[in-house]
Amino acid sequence: MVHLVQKNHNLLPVLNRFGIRLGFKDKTIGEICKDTSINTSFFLAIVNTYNSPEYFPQDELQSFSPLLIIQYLKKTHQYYQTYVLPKMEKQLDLIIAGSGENYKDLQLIDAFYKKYKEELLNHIQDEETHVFPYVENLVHHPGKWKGAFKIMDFEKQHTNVEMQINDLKNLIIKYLNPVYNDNDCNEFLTTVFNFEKDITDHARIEDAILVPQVMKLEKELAG
Amino acid sequence: MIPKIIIVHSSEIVRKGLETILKSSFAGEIVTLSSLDLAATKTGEYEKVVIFYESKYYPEIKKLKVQVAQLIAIAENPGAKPENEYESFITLDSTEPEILKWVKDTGIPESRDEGKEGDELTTREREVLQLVARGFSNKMIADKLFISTHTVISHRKNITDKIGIKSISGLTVYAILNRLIDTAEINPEDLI
Repeated sequence: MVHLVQKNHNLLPVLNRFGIRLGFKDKTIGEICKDTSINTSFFLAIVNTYNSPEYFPQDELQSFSPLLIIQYLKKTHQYYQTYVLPKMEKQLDLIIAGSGENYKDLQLIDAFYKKYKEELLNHIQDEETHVFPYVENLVHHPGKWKGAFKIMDFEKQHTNVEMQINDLKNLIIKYLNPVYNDNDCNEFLTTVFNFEKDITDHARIEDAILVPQVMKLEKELAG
Repeated sequence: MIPKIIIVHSSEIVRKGLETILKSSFAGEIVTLSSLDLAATKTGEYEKVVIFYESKYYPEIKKLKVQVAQLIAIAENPGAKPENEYESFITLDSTEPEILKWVKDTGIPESRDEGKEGDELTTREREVLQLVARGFSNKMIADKLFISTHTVISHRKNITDKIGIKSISGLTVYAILNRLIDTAEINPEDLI
């Protein structure tokens, strides 16, 4: 477990979502999962998705329930809403406060950010009110499934949300007037970069693990 | 109907080099092969095909029954004068214009290098961007500028490629930051 964190410290928030606390000593991933009652295959599937973009857990798909993924995705949403977004806003406010004559331009960036946030929250809301309950029903009451809807009908493209966070980065990096506080701006961009990485991986977990798993369930039910 | 250029040569240096030269000037597909594979030279949906081949394949290439626009030998000895042997040829010391000439002769369109990141927007692209930023749809922009929707879409693609901003709200911010739209009368935040 120590090696895992040393190799990729971006996994720290991921471990938090599993409720894994620091102070690993020399325990292996298997031991820690056992201690904290975490499904090891599931843990590995998530961590591997973060570590390598091509990873696809074909063989392990059946070894854990889609409910676990949903639980995990919800925790990630919470992390965005209660930690990352407020942090970005605070940092952006700091830049604006120190921007002097650049004030107007930065207000535009702020307006863009707010628009982005709105879409992101809509997306999260949509998943939590439609996609996740659909999967939960499918698992709990497979008998009631009529096949009228499928996971593919629900799962909206993530592209718009991803596109906008990338635009936010480019607007600041490429087109900002050079009147701003260096450190404030660096911190904000670092947060944006990390967030972009996390949210891309988050989307991949949905596309590479949740969706195939649910499609398999649907196929079995359809006979 | 995409033009296709096939490069057949056993030397990787030659294949990669030729590909780089051709890529900079021509749009379309470029295929490189380390040995002559007749299946890969089959034409189909390709309108124009140009094959650059290592000269040792001359006898086989001659027998090709496909409709090929141009067959160009890559002669082995630089400085040799193989014109009696091959109708069209280049040598390893051919210059870039000499190589490109063969392809241009076939009428394969040159790529216009549109939409490279960092390039300045053209006047037309700025007009399109201004309208996009003000919330006009492709159809409305087309009507306003007397161009087809298809052209509007192609302008939009070039704009996005050049400035690296994809979303409409991002393009709006770009347009205001670069004073492409006058924000004296409108509240910019309403547009985003």
